[in-house]
Amino acid sequence: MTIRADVWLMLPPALWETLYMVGVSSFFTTLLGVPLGIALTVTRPGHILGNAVGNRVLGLVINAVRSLPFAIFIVAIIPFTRLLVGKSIGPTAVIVPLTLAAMVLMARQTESALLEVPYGVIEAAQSAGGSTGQLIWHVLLPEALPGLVQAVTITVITLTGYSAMAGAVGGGGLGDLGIRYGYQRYRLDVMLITSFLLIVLVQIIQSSGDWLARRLNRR
Amino acid sequence: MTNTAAFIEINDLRKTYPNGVEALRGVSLSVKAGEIFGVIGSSGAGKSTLIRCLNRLEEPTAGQIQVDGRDIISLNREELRQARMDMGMIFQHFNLLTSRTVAGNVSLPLELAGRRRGETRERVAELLELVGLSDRASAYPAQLSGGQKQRVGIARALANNPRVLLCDEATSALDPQNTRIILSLIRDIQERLRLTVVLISHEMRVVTEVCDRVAVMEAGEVVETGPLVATFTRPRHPLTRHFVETALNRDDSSGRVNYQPQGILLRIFFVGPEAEESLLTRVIKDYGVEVNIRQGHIEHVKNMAFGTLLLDIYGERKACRAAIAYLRSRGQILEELESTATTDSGKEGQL
Ligand SMILES: Nc1ncnc2c1ncn2[C@@H]1O[C@H](COP(=O)(O)OP(=O)(O)O)[C@@H](O)[C@H]1O
Ligand SMILES: [Mg+2]
Repeated sequence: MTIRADVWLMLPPALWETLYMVGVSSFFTTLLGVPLGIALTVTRPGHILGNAVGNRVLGLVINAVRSLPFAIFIVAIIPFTRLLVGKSIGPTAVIVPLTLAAMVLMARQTESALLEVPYGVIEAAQSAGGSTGQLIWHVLLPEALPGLVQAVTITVITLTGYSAMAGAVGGGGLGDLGIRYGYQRYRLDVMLITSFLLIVLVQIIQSSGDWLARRLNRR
Repeated sequence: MTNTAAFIEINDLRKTYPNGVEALRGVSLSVKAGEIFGVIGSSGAGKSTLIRCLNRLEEPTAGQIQVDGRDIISLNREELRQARMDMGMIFQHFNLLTSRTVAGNVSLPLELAGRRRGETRERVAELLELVGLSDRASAYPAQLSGGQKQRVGIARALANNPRVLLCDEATSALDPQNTRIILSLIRDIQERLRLTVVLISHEMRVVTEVCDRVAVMEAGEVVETGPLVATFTRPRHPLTRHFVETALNRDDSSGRVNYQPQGILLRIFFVGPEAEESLLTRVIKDYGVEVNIRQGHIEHVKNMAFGTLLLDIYGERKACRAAIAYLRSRGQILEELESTATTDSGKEGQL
């Protein structure tokens, strides 16, 4: 197999698009998904703000979004995307469905990280007169931090995978390049190099996440 | 506030959990200012529910709670936060934040109360000094022993200068040595800071070690309450008697080894500072019998000694019977074995 010269011209913009899509959508996913996960946790019966009905409704909505295939999801929310960023095509537009789809995943991951915190620790702060906000901010989140880092790591990796499908709406990126040139035009070199780069990218994200989580863990 | 006034007043407190369990079925208690009040009961008796109702970690279903004249049940959210800062709490499993150092854990209640940073730092140093952990300030809980963790728990509970300390099975996860250390720390701090302490435990040993007064709980009800020594030396309720017997009925098989096959083996119960000696001196002098002490189990309850002795009485048979009759009339005999040679078929006496 030979690597043709045009690969080196196509790769840098594709890599940049992937980093851009994954980076920005990871940021918004975390920003929205973590609070959603907190809501999902503290409204559980017996938790800080136990509310069985609210918790049930929240859980149903989240599961509904989660059960849609991402490719359908992108198309389904095109009107919303256009409303938000003014267009429905290109890397920036793709960030909207990426964020919304990964946000619910992040919420569930956050929930399981927060449920790892023994409730007695929260009660200790409660008995010291902590308010709901303080219990979340001073106890729940710091205690769950290693788990939250793992949750973000998994979500970012999932986003990297989702971003490969963004080609469908002109999102670009490594995955799109691999599919269009490598797969559809039989360019084995493009397919191998883009796959290799994606593997390396995912490895880097996983290792950094693991390292950070380990460092933060004091248990 | 004088030392005898009720500081915590609980009246007909009831708690039914959503699953239908009636954990408290009308509990009334009054705890005096500056005393250590113990609640003893078997697992599931409702002790934790009771103590957790005091700071409303558990919402009572009905009844009244007054702490320092404040009606706890009617407090709104903000008032409850303030009231909780006046009641420190320690837990069986310590419940320390694993992500914070020892100093960080102790400073948490100060941060929650919105104290200034400088003030917080000083207070934390003071508290660590108080519990003897100044040298471990920057350690994480995972690096501490159980006893040290509970000392952090105590320092944290005292951070905002509470008037009350609530102890929910505070020593149940500790070994006997650390249990003693933590209990004497609680007593020491209680005296120094004039705290009112409510302590619950399923272990008699814990309650007798530090409490001034006790309540005995069973199935969501208080079955007996009174001063510590009186309650355990003259138990009225079968459950109280059961706790006393369990605490004293330790394995004494080594003392029963038949090395002197004469006389009558007795297990006697005694109370009081030197009561056992004066009692035995009296028996020896008045009845002209010999006494050989094989083994003794002594519990110290405040300044009172309290326990059992395993002994042989020997001498003239009639004198022995008279001595035993005397002891029995004083209600001191727990168990009498006709002769050590005829081994273990003794009659169980009542306390
Ligand atoms: N959160 C709860 N929900 C339902 N039942 C409970 C709950 N907490 C305790 N109970 C029940 O209430 C009774 C008293 O429990 P508890 O107060 O923990 O007793 P203790 O501390 O004396 O062991 C037990 O039967 C227990 O199973
Ligand atoms: Mg309990």
